[in-house]
This record gives sequence, C-alpha cells and structure tokens, in this order.
Amino acid sequence: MTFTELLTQIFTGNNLALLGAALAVILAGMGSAKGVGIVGEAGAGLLSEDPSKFGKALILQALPGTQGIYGLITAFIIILKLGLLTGSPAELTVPQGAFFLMVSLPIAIVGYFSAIKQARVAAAGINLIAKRPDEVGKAITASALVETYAIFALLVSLLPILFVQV
Amino acid sequence: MAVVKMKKLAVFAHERDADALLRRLMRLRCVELKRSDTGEGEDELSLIRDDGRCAEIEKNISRITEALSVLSKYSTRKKGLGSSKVSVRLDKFRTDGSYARANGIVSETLDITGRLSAIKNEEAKQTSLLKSLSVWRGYDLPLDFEGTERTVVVNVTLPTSVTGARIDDALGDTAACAVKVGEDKSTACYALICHKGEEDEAQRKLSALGMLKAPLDGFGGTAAHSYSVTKKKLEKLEAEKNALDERLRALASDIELLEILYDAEGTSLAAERGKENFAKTELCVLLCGWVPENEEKRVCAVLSKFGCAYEIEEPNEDEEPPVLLKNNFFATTFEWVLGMYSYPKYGTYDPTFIMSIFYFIIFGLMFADVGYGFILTVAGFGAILLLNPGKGMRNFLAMFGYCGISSMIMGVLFGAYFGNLPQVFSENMLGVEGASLSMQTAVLFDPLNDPMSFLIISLGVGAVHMIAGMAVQFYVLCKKGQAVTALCDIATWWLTFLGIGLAVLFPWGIYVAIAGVLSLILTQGRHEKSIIMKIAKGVMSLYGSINYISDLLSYSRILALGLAAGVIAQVINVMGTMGGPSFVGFIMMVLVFIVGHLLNLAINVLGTFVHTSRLQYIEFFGKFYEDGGKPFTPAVPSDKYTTEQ
Repeated sequence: MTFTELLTQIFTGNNLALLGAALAVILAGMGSAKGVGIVGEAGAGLLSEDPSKFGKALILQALPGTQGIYGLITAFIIILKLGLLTGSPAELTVPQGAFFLMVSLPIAIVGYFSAIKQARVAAAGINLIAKRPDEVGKAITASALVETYAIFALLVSLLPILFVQV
Repeated sequence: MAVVKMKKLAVFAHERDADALLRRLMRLRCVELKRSDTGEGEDELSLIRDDGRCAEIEKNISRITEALSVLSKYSTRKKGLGSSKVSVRLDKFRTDGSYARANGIVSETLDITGRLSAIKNEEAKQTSLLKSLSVWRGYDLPLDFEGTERTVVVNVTLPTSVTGARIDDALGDTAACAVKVGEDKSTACYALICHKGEEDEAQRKLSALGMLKAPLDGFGGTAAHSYSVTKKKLEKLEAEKNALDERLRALASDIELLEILYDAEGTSLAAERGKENFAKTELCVLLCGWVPENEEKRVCAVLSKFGCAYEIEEPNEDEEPPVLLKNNFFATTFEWVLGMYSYPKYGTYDPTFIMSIFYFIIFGLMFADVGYGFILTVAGFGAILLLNPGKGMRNFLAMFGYCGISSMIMGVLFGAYFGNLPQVFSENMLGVEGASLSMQTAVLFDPLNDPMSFLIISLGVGAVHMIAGMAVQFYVLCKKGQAVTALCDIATWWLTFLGIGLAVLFPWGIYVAIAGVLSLILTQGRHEKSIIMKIAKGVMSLYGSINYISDLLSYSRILALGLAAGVIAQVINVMGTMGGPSFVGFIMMVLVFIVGHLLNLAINVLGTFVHTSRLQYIEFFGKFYEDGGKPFTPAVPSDKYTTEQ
C-alpha cells in the first residue's frame, strides 16, 4: 500500500465528518472544562470565607459550561446525520465530509475561547458577590454577554448541518 | 404596575412613648425609617447613640439560636409540611412572665448542654481507664504496692507474643522474676519482682522485648477495687446523662416559647436599630421615614392614637424616596427579576407587567417541552404548598411555576415531550418501525426538522419585544410632555421598520421604508445649528440601525437554546432505550431517564433563566429603563417563627 492509498483510506468522507464532530467536542469541551475550573477556583476562595454563598457561586461556575454542551450538540447532530446510531451509516464523499468538518469549526474555536473569556468575567463576578451578594444578577448578566458569541457560533455550525441532505 | 408614590413622614413623640410607637409602626409594616435630619447648628437635637443595647440583644439571640438547635433535636413536635406560624402578641409575651420563663429555659438548656459535654469528656476518660484496669483485675496486690524490705515490685506490660521462657532468658542471672497477672488480645501484664538494686537492670533487659511501664499511676488499692470504683463512676455519669436528657426532653416541649422569644428579641433588635435613626431633645424624639401613599391613613390613625405631632408631605425634588412596586398577582412574582437588575428610579415607569408577559413567552420558547415544563410547574407550586416559604422565596418558586406552564404550552405547539421521547420509545421499545422519523407530535412543526421557521418565530418575538420597549419609551416621553421627541426619535424608526417589513411582502413597501429613512435624516439632526450639520447628523443616525439589527439577531439565542435542550433530551432518550424491549433494558431506561432528564432540566433551566433575563435587561430595558431605585425596606418585626396578632 502506498502512502497515498493510506491517506485516502484515512481521510474518507465519513472520517472527515467525524473529525469535525470530534473537534467540536474536544475544543469546546476543553474551553468549558478550563472555564468551569477557573470559576471554581475563584469560588472556593469565596466559600472558605462564607459557605452560605454556595448557590450563587455555583450559578456563576456553571455559566462557562454551556460551550461544551454546544460542542456536544453539534457533534451529536453530525453523528445522527451520519447514521452511526441507527446501524446503517451513510457513505459520504470527501467533499461532503469536508463540509461537516468546516461547519463544525465555528463552535469548536469560538467555543474554546469564549468559554475561557466568559469564565474570567464570571471569576470577577465571584469577587463582586464576595463584597455585594445582592448583585449576583449583574455578575451573571455580565458573564452571559460573552456567551452570545458562542451562541452565534453554534447557530452557524448547526443550521447548515440541519439543512444538508446526505 | 406602577411605582408606588411615597410620602415623607416626620413625627414628634414623647420619649417614653417612643418604643411602643416604633413597635406599633413596625407591625404596620409600611414605614421605612430614615436618619432624622438634625439640622445644622441646632444643638438641642442630637441623634440617639447606641448604648450597647444592640450588642446585648444580639448576644442573647445567638444564645437562643443555640438553645433552639439543641432542643429541636429533643422535640417530639411533628413539623408538618405547610405548618403555619404561631400567632402571638409580643407585648403580652413580654409582660405576662413568659419572657422570663423563656429566657430561663434558654439558660438552663445551655447549662445542661455544657454539663453534657463535660460528662462526655469524663466518660471517655473513665472508659479508657476501665479498659486499662480490666486486664489487671487478676492481680491481688494493691496497684501502688512498691515492694517489701528487700524487693521492688514494678507493674509492666509486654506484648502477648513474648513467652515466659523468653522473659526468663532475657532476665538471665538478674535477681528478678516476672509474674503474669493477666492478658488481653495484645498485651500481657506482669508484676516484675526484683531484688532491691536490680530493678533498673531488669527493666533495661526487658525493654528490649517491648516492655512498657503500666499506666497505673495514682491508683490505690487492688485493681479489682479500682475497677469497680471506675465502673460505678461511669454508671453515675450515665445516670446523670439520662436525667439531663430527660430534662432536655421536658424543656423541648416548650420549644414554641423559645421560638416566640427568638422573634421577640429579633423584633427588639430591629427596634433598637431603628431608634438609631431618631433624633431627640430632652423630652421628645423625632422619627423620620417614608410611607407609601396608600398606607397613609393607617399610619395616621396610629399616630393620632399615640398623640404625636406629625407631618406628612410630598418628597422634595432633591430627595430620593425608596421604590415600592405594585403589580397584579402574576407580575408580582417577576419583580425579583427586575430587582436583580436594579429597581426603576422613583417616579419612573415600572415595566414589570410587560416584562412578565414577554418573560413568560420567551422562557417557554427557549425551553419548549411538555415534560420538563410539567416538572417545573409541579416543583414550583408544590414547594409553595408544602414548604410554606417566605415571601421572596414564594415569588421565586411561583415565577418558575408559571414559566413551566409556558414551557408546556410551547411544548405542545412544537411537539416536545421530554425531547422526542414518544418517537424513540415507540421505535426502540414498542418496535414501531421508523417511528422516530414519521411520528408527528407537534401541533405546528418540529424545530429540529424546520429550524428556519423557528428562527423566524424567535426573531419575530424579538421584534415585538423591542418595539414594545420603544413603545414604553414613547409613552414615557409623551407623559413627560415631550411628544415631539417621541415622534422624531421613535416613530421615525417604526416607520422605517414597517417599510422594511412591507417591502418583503409587497414591492411598494420600499417607498414606506424610504419615507422612514428620509424622516430619520430630517429629524435626527434637529439639535444642530447649521444646515450641513443637521443633514450630516441625520445621515449618521442611520448607523443606529446596526444597534437594532444586532439586538434583533440576539434573539436567535431562543432557537439555539431551544435546540440545545431538545438535542440533549434526544441523546438521553437514545442512550436510555439502547437496551431494547427487555426487562433489563426497561430498568436501564428508567435509570438513564431519571438521571439524564433531571440533569438536562437543571442545566437548561439555568441557561434559559439567564438568557431570558439577559434579553429583558439588555434588549428590552435598554430602550427605556431608568434604573437606580432603592428598594422600599420597611421596619418590620422578626417573623421567622411567629406572626403578630
């Protein structure tokens, strides 16, 4: 088998689409994991002083977790489209597979970065509720503003996937 | 749906009436105290200083809290769900001896608790002594016996693994012998009898085998005697403990008295704190505060009864009265969402009612699912019925209960019952071929199959929401007498939007849009002086359309979050039904569904709540809202356990 043959066997249409699904889960998930971690660390510092703020800290900590979910959703729809869960997988051409790879990039990349940036706002929000627990609404809102762009990325990833026929 | 009008209250009362008057006003729950204005240079008025009463009451409250937590463990009272608070008269409570009795109970409870913990320590000490004595019970010499004229006796322990032969070997020719007097699992006890002068040598030799001196210092008499003495001590402690437990149980029957005391002291603390705002002369105190307009009569009636001199007037321009919102039963439950942002400034428009309607609709669209909505409604209203929570919590729960209803309605329209559970269940568990594709549960359409239509609905709701925000601004401006501003700044945009909307449907709509754009160009530069600047400013204002477009696109999150909830539900459904129609498969399905769907519910309620709120705060409030109001916080009696008659 030549190297070219090996490559054509690896980069089949289906595998390209799966690569897209994997990237969506991996990058967005990494961003969310890192983000939830950042806020969790900040929150633990607050809880050592005042454990009664656990509920508020938990909400802020959960916020950067959504990007990972958006990645999961994108990956799941791709897997559904490929028919991998029904036992009769579709046979994608290489351009079709590349299509799925391309459209999964927005949520993968924006998901990664927006989760971390959102986490930094949420961690700052932890400092805010340490001093002014009643202002948790503002801390949440400020952090949710960052998520807008992950939502847009999700839409751009999801809409073409839902429309395309395979 | 309004910000309640506030009146400024100033009362002069006799100093001896001050406490009773304040407590009476607190019961009305409609007077917010504010720091009395002592004026400048008027030296006969001074603020009341804190004389340490507050700290004293706080200390007592923390004692009561401690006693309550102890007694609640002993109380046999059934805390029925939804039990209502006891209705009491605190002034009667203070005078009829109950107050002293309740304080007596607190002191006794805390004394007993202190004694109980001392008993516990003593018991632990005696139990460990008993354990070390029990091995020595076979030894019939007194434990403090140190030897005869020629011999020395040392009590030692060795590991049980050391045999008598090894001890004899180790002692060798030292004039000593070890007599075994008892053993337990790990240690054996010996009386080491040595010739005087050889005891150090003998002990040194046995140390190599793991010998330790027995911990029996301070015991006289035989071990058996000490053992029985210790045992008796323990029995006595046990008896005392039981008696104290019994006493606590008896005291716990009066736990209600302590709860009343807690509220009585809490009320006193609030009153003392309130008094710090008073100003006083030699014989009078001056009380200042805010009263909602609709409560004015009740307050006046009380004040006349006390024979006070008082004055109720409109607030001055430069003052900022606190904000109290008044809404119908539905919108009231949404007031806390407004509070999370900021209350409206006093005298401005209260958008709670309009917001609550849009909140209801948008929450439902984002989280359209009959199953999840049902859980949310049952949990929200169920918790209110069962737990009888306080006012704030009640509103919080009721709001989510209402939002659940909205989710159910939207769920029926868009066919979501725990995601696509009906389809997946019929295909995988009932064996209906192709059900997941062919079975239709939606009244309108399934957003997953037709996301474009759902996106249009999302943006449509967004457009209505934004225009409603602009309409509020229009109304507010007109009310302020700035109808021209309203027409120029808002109606022109409406004309433009209308034109764009019409242009999509009819070709002639484009002329309406052009008329709108022209009206913008002509009006937006009206504050400039030169004609060129007027036009330039007008053209520049068209840039504002970017804001409206970005606001509108922001509503696409309704689609995204709606899909997110639906798709995760699908993942759970597929995972749950993988086992197929067998007994094991069924068990697995139930487990996966309970865990998975609850998790999905939790994640999505949070996400939906956050993003629905955001759409209100930024896209809706941004059009008109004047924030910065200080919430109305009347002085109230403490009501954790009781209500005042």
